[in-house]
Amino acid sequence: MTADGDHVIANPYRNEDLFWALRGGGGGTWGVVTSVTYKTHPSTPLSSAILSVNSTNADSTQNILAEIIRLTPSLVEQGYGGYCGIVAGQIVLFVTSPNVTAEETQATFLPFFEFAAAQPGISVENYTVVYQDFWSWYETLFVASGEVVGMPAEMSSWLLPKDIIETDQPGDLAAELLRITSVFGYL
Amino acid sequence: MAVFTFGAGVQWSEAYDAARQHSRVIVGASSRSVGAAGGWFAGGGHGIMAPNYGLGTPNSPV
Repeated sequence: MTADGDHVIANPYRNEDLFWALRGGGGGTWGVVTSVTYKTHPSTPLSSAILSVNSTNADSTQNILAEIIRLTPSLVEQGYGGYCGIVAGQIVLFVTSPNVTAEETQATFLPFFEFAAAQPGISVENYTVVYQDFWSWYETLFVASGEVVGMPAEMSSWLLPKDIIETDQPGDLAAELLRITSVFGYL
Repeated sequence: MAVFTFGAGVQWSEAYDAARQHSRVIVGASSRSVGAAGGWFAGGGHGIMAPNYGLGTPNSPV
């Protein structure tokens, strides 16, 4: 629904400019979206890796985060998506991909898990797991947990180009992300 | 192509529940109460399935 009260359809063939602007142009900027049509994809198993670190050693925290950053381009290439939260000496990483087997996930993550576990001054939990489908993953992490939405933090969004991660030192980026975390509390 | 159309007010947990009953997956948000036809998509549409299938915006509308 546009500001002048017209109810219009926006897609690649009708109102193309509005369609283009809506896709990333911000909520409410161009009108009120009354419905959206999405593509769907076949249901597949999801192979996941989870790491949870509690650290009392700042160097260890930075080393582990730097390793996560160094791994990120290859994880994305393997189809992994997920989250990495950092707050006050804690790092939680959980990623999942529909394109890899349990064995491939273990081969990718075991060296990283060993690297993390060898750092001094930390306690660490990690595992890999295969969920039978997206809903199983979602139900376990977001429905059963009771999580609804939101946290006491101001949200922002930055996209880091791959070449930044590949050409800059992961340790430098890790140090900067930890500095931001020390100021704003959560990343 | 199999698609879903969601009206404003549908939350992602409801959208995923509908999709799973047809053995389909949609690129969407994680937190349950995020709106499937709202600011998530207008903000670009990040989701854990995006590295495979693209952000929410190339997945909508088709």
